[in-house]
Amino acid sequence: MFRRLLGRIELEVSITAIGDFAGNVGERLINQLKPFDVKIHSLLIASNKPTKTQEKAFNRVFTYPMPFEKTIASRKKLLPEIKTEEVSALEKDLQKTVKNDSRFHFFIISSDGFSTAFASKVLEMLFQQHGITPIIFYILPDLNAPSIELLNTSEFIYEIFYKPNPLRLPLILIDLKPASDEEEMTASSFFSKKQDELSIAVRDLVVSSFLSPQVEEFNATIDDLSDVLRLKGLSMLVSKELGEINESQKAIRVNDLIVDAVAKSMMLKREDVYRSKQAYIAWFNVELDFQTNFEAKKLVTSFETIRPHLKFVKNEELGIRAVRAIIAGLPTPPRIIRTMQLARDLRKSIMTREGTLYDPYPNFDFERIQEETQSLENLVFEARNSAKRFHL
Amino acid sequence: MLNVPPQIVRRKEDIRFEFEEFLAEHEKALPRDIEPEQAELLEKLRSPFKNPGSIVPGLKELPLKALLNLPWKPYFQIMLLIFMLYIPSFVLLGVGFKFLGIPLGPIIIVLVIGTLGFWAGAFTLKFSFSLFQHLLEVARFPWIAEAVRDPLESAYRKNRTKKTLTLALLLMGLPTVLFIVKFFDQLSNGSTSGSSAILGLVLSILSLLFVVPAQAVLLLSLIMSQKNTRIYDHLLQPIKNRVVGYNEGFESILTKNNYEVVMILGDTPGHSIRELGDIPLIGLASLVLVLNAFVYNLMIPIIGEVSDLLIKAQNNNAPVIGWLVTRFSPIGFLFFMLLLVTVLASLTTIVLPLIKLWWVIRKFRLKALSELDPFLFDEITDTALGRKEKMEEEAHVVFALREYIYQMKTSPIDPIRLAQITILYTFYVWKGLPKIAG
Repeated sequence: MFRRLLGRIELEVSITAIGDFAGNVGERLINQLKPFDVKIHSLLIASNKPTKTQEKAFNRVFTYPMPFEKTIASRKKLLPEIKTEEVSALEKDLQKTVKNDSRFHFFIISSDGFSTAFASKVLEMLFQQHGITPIIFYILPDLNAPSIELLNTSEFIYEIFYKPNPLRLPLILIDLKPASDEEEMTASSFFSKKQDELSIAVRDLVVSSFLSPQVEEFNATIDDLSDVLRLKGLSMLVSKELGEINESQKAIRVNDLIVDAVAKSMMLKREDVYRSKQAYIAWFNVELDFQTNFEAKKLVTSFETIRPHLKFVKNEELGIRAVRAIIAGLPTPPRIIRTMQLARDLRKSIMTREGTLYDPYPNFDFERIQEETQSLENLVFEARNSAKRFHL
Repeated sequence: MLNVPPQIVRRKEDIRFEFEEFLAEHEKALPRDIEPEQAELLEKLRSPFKNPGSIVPGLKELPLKALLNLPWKPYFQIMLLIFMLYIPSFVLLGVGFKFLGIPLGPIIIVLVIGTLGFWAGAFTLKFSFSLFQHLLEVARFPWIAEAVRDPLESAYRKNRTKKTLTLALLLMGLPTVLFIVKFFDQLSNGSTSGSSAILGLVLSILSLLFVVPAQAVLLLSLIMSQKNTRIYDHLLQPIKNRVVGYNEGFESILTKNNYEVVMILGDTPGHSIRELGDIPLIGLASLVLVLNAFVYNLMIPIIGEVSDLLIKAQNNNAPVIGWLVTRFSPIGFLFFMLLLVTVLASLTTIVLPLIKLWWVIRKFRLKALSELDPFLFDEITDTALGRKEKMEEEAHVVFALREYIYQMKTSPIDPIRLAQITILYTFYVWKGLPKIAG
C-alpha cells in the first residue's frame, strides 16, 4: 500500500505448478518468496489430493483426479484422455492467477506424463484464447532417466519449438543431472535436495532484481530480468554456491564457472554460449575487491554479441555467497538431440519387445505392493534397532 | 494355466514419433565419436581404481581421443596399472637368465631405460594432444583452428589399442629368435646343462609376454608423434600461404593477413601462439627416451653385449663411425644403425617443415624491414632537418609495426631451447647410457 503511494513498483509473481514434482518445487518457492515483499498468485494443478502444506502454500488448488500409474505413463496416451471441457473448468482459476499486467508468469513443469500432457493443453488454451505467453521452468531429466521421461521431454520440446507453427514460448531448462558427490544419495533425499536448490535459485533471481545493488556500475533492474526471462527460445538456469570465504577461493573465475556449467550440461561448445542472445547474472555476498571487479569486467566483455546484465547484491537474508544466472537464447543444444535420440531408440525397442511378450501380471494390484513394501521397510527398521541394541 | 493374451507383434518401422524428421536432420551434427553407452564407460574410467572392471572394455572400445581427454590423474592411474604389468617380466627374466647362465647386471639397464621411456611416452601422448586441443578451444585465429581440426580428428578418432598390441606382440618375435640363438650358443659353450637351459629359455620367452603392454604404449607414442608432426605440418601451411602474397609482390604489408602472421610469431605472450613452439620441442625431447626404451626392449637377450660395447666405446674415446669400422661387431653395428636411422628419420620429419617455414618467414621479415626502414628514416630525417613541422601520424603506426616485425621470430621454436635439448640428448647418449651400463 505505502509502496504504491510512494510510487514504487510492487513485484507480482504468479506461479502455476503442474504435477507432483513441480508442485513440491512450487511450494518451496512460494515459502521462500514470502518474506520478501513479493505478491504471489499461485495455482497448483495436481493429479491426486494435495498435502496440507501444499494447500497452505498455494492460493488455489485444482485437482484432476487420476490414478498414480497413469500419471507416470506416456504423455501421448494421456493427451486424448484429458478432455478440453475439463481443462476449461480451470479457466477462472487461471485468469485469477495469471493476470495480464503482471510481469512474471511462471509455469513449473516436470517430465512426467501428467505434467507434460496437462501443460501442453493449458498452454495452448492460454495462448489461443488470451494471448498470454508464460515463462516455463522445465525440469530436464538426466540422460539415464527412464525412457518414458525422455520421450515426454522430447515430445514436449518438439511441440513448443520445432514443429510447424510452434508456440515458441520462453523455456528455461533446469538440469536434474546429479553431481559426482550426489550419486550415492538415495532418490528421495536427492530429489528433495534438488527441489530446495531449484527454489532457492529462482527466488534469488527474482529477489535480486529489486534489491539495491552493491556497486552502481553493475546494476540490473526488474526490466532487465523480465527481458531476459521473456526471451522466446531455450534458456538455461545456472546456480552455483561459492562456499565459505577461503584464501584460495577469493579469485573465482565466474566467467568459466557459468560458461562451463552451461556448456557441460547442454553439451554445447563454449563459443556457442558466448553467442547467446541475453544473459542475467547476479552475484550474492561477494567481497568487492580488485579481483572481483576484474572478473566482472572480463565477464561482460567476453560475450560476443551482447552486454549481459550483471548485478552484485549484498543481503544476509539471502544466505551464502552464490552466483545465479540465466543464459537465454541458446542454439539447439546437442543434449536435447541426444535426449530425442535415446527416447526414440529405447522406446522403440521396448515397444517391440512388449508386443511379443504376454503380460506377466494381469491383475496389477498397486495397493497390495505398497502395503508389502511398507511391511518390508518396517522389518528393516526393526532389524536395525535390534542391531543397535546388541552393539552390532 | 497362464493367461496369455493374443499376441500383437509390432515392428520398429510401424512405430513413429512426431519428432523423428526433425531428429534425423539434426542427428548428423552430433559428435559421433562417443556412443551413449560409451559415455557411461568413460564416466567410470574417471576413477579407475574404484572401477577396475571398466578399464579393459574402456581401452578396447573408446576412441583414443576420449581416453586422452580424461583428466591427468585418472589417466596416470590407468598408465600406472599398465606399468604394473611390465614389472613381473624382470623377475622372470632374472630367473631365466640365471638358468641360462647369463650375467644379471644388464637387466637393470632395461629396467631404468624402460621405465623412463614408458613415462615419457605416456606423458607426451596426452600433453601433445592437449596442446592441439588448446589450439582449437582458444580459437583466437579461426583459420589456424580450421587447419588443425580435420587432421586432428582423423588421427585421434580411432581406437588403436588392438592394432598396437598385435604389432607389439609381433615385434616380440625378434627377441624370441635372439633368445633361441643365445640358447644354442650357451649350450655349445657348455656353461649350462641342457635341462636348466631349456627352463631358462621358457622363462625368458614367457617374460617377453609381460613386456608387450609397455611396448604397446611406447609404440603408440611413436606412432602418434609421427602423426603429430603431420598435423603440425598442416598447421604451418596456412601461415606460409598468408605471407606468399606479400613475398611475391601482390600485396601491401599493411593488410590483415600480414598483421596476423606477425602477431602469431611475435614475442607478446597475449597474442603469440605458444603451442607452435612447444609441440615439436616436446616431441623431440620425449622421442629420444621413447625410442631408446623401445629398442632396448627389443634387445633384451643381447643386452650384455650392447652394454659391453657402450663401455668399450667410452674407454676408447674414439669417434663413432671410425670405432664401428675398426672394431666391427655385427650386433653393435645393428644396434647403432637402428638407433641412428630412426632418430634421423624422425628428426627430419619434425625439422623439415620448420625449415620450410623459416625460409619463407625470413624472406618476409627481410623484405618488410627493408621496405619500412627507409621510409621511417626519411620521415625522421625530414623532421630532424626542419623540413617538416611534425611527423605524420601514419609514421607512428608504421614504426610500431616495424618494431613488431623486428622482434618476430623467424621460426616458432626457441633456438636456445632447441640447443638445450640437443645438448641434453648428446649428454644422455654419450655419458648417461654408458654410466647406467657400467
